[in-house]
Amino acid sequence: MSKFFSNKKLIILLITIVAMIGLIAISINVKDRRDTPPLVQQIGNDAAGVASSIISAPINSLHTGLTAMVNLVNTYQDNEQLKQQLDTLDQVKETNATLKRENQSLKKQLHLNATLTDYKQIDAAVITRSPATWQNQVVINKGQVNGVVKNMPVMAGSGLLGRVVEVNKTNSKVELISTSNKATNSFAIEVRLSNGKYLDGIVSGYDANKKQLIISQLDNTDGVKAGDEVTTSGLGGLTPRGLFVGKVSAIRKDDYGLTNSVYVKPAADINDFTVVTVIDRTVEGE
Amino acid sequence: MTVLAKQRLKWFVPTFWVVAFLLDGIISYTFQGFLFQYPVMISTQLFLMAIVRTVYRFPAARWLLWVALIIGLFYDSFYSGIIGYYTFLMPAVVIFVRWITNYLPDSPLFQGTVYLLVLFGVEFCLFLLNSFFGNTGDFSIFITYDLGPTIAVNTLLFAALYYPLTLLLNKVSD
Repeated sequence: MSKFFSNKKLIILLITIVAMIGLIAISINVKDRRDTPPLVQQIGNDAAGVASSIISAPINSLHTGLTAMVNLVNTYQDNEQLKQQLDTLDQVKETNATLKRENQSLKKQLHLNATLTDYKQIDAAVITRSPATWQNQVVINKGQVNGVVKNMPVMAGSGLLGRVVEVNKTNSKVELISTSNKATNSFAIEVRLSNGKYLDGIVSGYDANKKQLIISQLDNTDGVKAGDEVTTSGLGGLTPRGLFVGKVSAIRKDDYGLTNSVYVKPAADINDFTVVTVIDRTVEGE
Repeated sequence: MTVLAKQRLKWFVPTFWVVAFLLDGIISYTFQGFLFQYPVMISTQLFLMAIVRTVYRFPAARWLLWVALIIGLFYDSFYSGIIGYYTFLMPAVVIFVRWITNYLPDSPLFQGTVYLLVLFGVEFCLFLLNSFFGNTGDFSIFITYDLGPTIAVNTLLFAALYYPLTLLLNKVSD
């Protein structure tokens, strides 16, 4: 058997490894910049997005059909449950509309144009998901032309799903909240206690075994109970206040017994979503 | 191979590989409830399978290296936005498979073994690179919840697609 690595090949291999690590490091470093990816890369990604949509069209229609059939089976049960909720919903809707009106007129009196709770929604469909296990990213079919900007939060169903990390002309990449990427931006959240007070913290990670988000850097965890609601606090970045994240499921000490971490069951189903909503905060960020 | 078949190969291989690379993402998205059942994370590697099968069948085609490099670049740019992983690993796979075909006969068993070896190598390299850049969990989590299930699912896919792909590659080279 001839030698796989001759001296010349070994040198080429070493140079290639150095080039690979260098290129990855550069890519990671420039990723958060506002002007990346460059136009050429955007065009490539847009073309790949279009090709992916064409190939996935038959698979998607089959998938939608199957999901519709499964939903049909569950319809009766869902209907019974929804009927019960419907009675109370009308009243809540009415109160909500009245409060909104009142809120708007009060804001007008105070000459406030928009606050941290105001946002617009951009609906998008998921085109594809990164097969690379460590990335936890999906590609959605809305981009720069639809007003999507890097770092906007993304919701699925009733809860927070992730954040836009790259914007091309016609599609964007969304990093899911379940990412293990330590360099990613954390979401600032607040826990609403039963006594009406709020505690500020950040989403510091995702416990894959428990399928729960880990909240840390809370001032103290006194008074936090399972079932308390967790929402975004609107501090930092482009996230508005009041996006629902999930409900507290447990409070645990960290490995050294020094600080308490709050575990939150996310409201969004991180592994079952086809349509997402990109949130565009009315108040400008940094 | 005839001149006509050689020309046919020049447009067939890029199309075949691009379709395989896009299918990886589409399958990951369509079956995300099954493939990304945390903590289990399975990555489908149809693109890698397409490369191994094609290079094993046509080891003399030197230009496959450049096609792997360009489509690898697209793969990185489209799925993760971080260029370098597949851009370099896929050409390395082409070189390795081309070298190993000198010593192994072309049979389902040997092709399967080479594919598994390459899959293991690529997954391991991806883990090493990702952990170097702070993007992964523990090594034990990688072995149990990522590498094991990924190899199992991809072996099944390889077995299921072996004969259809053989027929396709034979048809192209006729």
